[in-house]
Amino acid sequence: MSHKYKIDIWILIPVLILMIFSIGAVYSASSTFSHEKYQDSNYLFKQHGIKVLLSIIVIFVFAKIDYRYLEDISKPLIWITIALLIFTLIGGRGPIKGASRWINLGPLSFQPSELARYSVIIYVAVLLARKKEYIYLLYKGYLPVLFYILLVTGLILIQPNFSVSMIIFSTCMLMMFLSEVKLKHLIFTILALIPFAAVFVLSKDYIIGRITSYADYHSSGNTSYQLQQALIGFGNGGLTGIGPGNSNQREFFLPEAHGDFIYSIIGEEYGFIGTFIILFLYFIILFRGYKIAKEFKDDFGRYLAFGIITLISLNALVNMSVASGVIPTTGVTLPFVSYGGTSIIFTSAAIGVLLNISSQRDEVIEEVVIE
Amino acid sequence: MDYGKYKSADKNLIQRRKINFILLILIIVFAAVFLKLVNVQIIDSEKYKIAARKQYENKITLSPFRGLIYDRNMNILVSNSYEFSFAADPNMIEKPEEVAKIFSNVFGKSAEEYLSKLTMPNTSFVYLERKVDVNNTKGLDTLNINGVIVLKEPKRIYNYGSLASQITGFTNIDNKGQTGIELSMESELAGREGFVIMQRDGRGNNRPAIEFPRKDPENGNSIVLTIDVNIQKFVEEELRDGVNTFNADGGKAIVLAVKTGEILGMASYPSYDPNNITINDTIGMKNSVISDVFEPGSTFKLITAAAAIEEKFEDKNSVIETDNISEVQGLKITDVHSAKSMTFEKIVEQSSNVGFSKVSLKLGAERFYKYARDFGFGIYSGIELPGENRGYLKRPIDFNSFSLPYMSIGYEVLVNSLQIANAYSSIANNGMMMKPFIVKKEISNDMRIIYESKPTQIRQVVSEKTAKSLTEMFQNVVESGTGTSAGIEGIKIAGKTGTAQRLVDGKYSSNSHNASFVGYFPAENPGLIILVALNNPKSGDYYGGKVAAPIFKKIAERIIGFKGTSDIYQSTIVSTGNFELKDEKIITAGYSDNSVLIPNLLNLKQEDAIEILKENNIKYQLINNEAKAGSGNSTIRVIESQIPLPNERVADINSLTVLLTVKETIISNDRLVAVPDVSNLSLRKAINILLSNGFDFFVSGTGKIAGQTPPPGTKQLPGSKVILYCRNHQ
Repeated sequence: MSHKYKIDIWILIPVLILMIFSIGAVYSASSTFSHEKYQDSNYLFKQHGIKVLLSIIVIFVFAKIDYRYLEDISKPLIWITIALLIFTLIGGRGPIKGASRWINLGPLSFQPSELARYSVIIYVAVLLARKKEYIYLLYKGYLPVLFYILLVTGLILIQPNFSVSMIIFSTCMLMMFLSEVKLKHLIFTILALIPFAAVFVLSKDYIIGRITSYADYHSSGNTSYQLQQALIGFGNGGLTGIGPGNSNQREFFLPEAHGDFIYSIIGEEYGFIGTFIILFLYFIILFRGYKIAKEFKDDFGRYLAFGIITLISLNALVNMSVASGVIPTTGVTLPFVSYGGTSIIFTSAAIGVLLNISSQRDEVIEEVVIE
Repeated sequence: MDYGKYKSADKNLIQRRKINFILLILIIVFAAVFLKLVNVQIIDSEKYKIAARKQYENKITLSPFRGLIYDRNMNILVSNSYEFSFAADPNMIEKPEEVAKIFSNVFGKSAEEYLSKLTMPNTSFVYLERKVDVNNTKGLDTLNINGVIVLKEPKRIYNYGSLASQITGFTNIDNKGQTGIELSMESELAGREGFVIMQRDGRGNNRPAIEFPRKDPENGNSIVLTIDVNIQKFVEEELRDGVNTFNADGGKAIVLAVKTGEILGMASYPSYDPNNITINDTIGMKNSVISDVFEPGSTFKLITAAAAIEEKFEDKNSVIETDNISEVQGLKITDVHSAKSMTFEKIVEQSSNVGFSKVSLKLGAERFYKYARDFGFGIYSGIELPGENRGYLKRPIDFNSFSLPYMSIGYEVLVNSLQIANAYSSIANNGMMMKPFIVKKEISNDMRIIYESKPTQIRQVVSEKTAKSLTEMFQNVVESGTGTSAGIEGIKIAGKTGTAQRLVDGKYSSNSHNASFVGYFPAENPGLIILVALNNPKSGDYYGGKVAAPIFKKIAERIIGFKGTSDIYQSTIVSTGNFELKDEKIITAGYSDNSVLIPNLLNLKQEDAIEILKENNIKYQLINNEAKAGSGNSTIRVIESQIPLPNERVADINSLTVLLTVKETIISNDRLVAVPDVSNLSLRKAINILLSNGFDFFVSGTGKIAGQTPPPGTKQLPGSKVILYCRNHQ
């Protein structure tokens, strides 16, 4: 069996382009903020540059590791994740931006939710593959999977991190939809969760505020300062943009310019051409990822690939929709592009896993033949 | 539906369809983002661009320097300084009691007064002190008190105080001309405001932006007057003394250059000090020489005399009967002399009312009116000063039977002093009337001439012959007639006295007079004409020949005796006169070779400013403001203020030390730009390169670029000045 290392370059290349692009975008978007906060306009840029380099290494390392090993560590991983999530709730790093999301490990500080989004996907994929013969059964098949999903997304929700929790939950629901879970189980689950979600939303003023501000924008054109500034960034960029590094919006006009709203800075500097290219790159990743999932024979690999791509795509779509005012404001980073600390490393690891899956498209079939 | 029952192939097909279904939903989201982006970035882009520009740009007005006013010898009559105004935003004041105490200490008013302003509710701007002189701020302008707003406002400095103040006029609190040259030359002096578009960040802080438009203010042009400060000084001093000696209500005097119409001195008394205007100054502010009209009395006999000779009704030897009390057309006219008959020459010499009124009747109304008009009465002289009153000259159609004899001796007619002086000046100038003017030149900041007045001939009023013969008669007036007190030994002076009863409560008063004398010299080739008029002298003497003529004499003597002027009209006088020269204290040195124009160093980097000063051999002294410490940044030192102010001309470079106040400014490194290399390029090209790189420039010398400061490659703040040294290569 000649092992030919054949990853899907149609996923790798867009990801690498996004990462390289992000170096410039973060540099431009963060320089004023960095200068103000760290007296060094390159501070965040350097931090980000290191992480991008690390991420590229991570991609290739994970692309080499057989994704099937994940099955073995999936159970300990989910429990470590749950433990970390609980730890952040009771004693993690102090609240940042009103949310306690961080684990403080010095230079390796990270948000457990970053880990959680992938460990839950892996474990759900494992369970769906393992229970495929009886997943349609409510107690033996469906509920145990739902238990983990609700536990993890619930812990993230009460951090509070509504948007990330929703994205993970949606991804897991779509994975179950893909598997042989009974549709009525899914529908009942969602119907049952709606009252809880409603109570949660109504109890959080900031979510209500964002939604009313969004509704207001669509009825009267008035909008929150942040969205207004994001739109000015896009609009001022026009078709071709005002040029790399020329952003004005980063000069304290647009809060979180290098983070959740970096897409607007890209729009400002590179214009519609830039934003369209970014949009198109995510579309390629989504399309190729789903193609792998569709063609992949191994159940675990297929669910995993589907989960990873769905998660990344939802992240990207939510971020871009928020920045451009399609949906209400919520804090989600733009995968591979935003300055977002460790998130890029976890996402890259996930892409590595996906690439590894892509490289084994044919081997799985061979194995079947050999058996 | 039970998926478990399906075969593997079917299962794969269903899953594929499910993925396609999810993909479709996600594509819809992609499409939504795409459409939104098309909308914002392409369709509505312009709307957002406008919103962007609005929030990024902050237009800041740059005030120009108001032009200076010079005398004919480039002595600066009016220049610029600053005043500070202090205001407060009560909402921002943290410790009003302390701030009130500070202001109370500096300005001596009670702390309560300031405290009430500092705690004023519902306002964000209240003046604490306005228009504080630079020297009286006691450093308050450099204190950085939260909520206290320091406004630096330009202020006019009238270097000679009240001297020529009616000519220069003054500016109001907004530095706009209110009277005099300041008013009439407002548009030339004011300059144009410039602006700089500052880039503003989200916190409202300004940053200079190189790609944004900047329009430098155009400093006002300066005005050079025909006035000579020295002559002006003589005129004002002698007029003041004369008014006091003869106990007059006021007086006016004017000195004209006969051949050109230039006004060399012009004053009325009382006067005022434009540096320190009080409510009592309203009379003093008026330039009575042009704005006061009066019945001139005998000086107006010029019209009759000139017309009679020109039209050959009389020559100097014609004899006219002159009873001392004589009825002319039923009008009783009196004379002070007692001759039964006189030659025409004598009539002029003795200023016989009877004689002139009889001659006027021979001329007739139309002819009289024509000459009066031609001599410039009843019409504006066109002087470049505001507030001229053209007086009143009755038209023949409005004459009654008494009008002509009355007008012939200077009643029933209203004139201003300039009109009288200029009418006589045209006789002095061989019958050619010149247009009087006071603005000699308009010059730009770099002393380029924008506009220069040329002497303008108005008309030949009478023939040269007539003029000469009148001058002869006027000479007799001074030699043996009514104007003997004007006589100066060794110089021939032609002149005419005037004494007119003033209308008091509608009747001519026998004890209130306007006394005047107008004379010119040297009679052989007149250069200067001087008019002096006193209102209501009450010292006993009231004849023009007794009160105005002596003042004329003193002014004339001082002008003739004054040495050190280079003006052609004055030098002819000086050379003609045969005088013991008196030493007059020269008020300031003129525009000599040692003089220097102070360069504008404001906001330049300290090194650049010093470089410019060295290049011009100007001594300097630096005064450092408190330095602020900065970390991770470089600081630059820039010139915050300078004394003397830019564009002033200082007489002697050797006695000059420029005081520079330096402040430290923190700049972040990443805004610095490397200075381009422009050596050996043409000046034009170098400037283009510098401007396109966002630098400003200062040129020293002419020709190609021989050197530059700072050197190429040095990191500089955009907008900072690069000094270009140019040399002409042979």
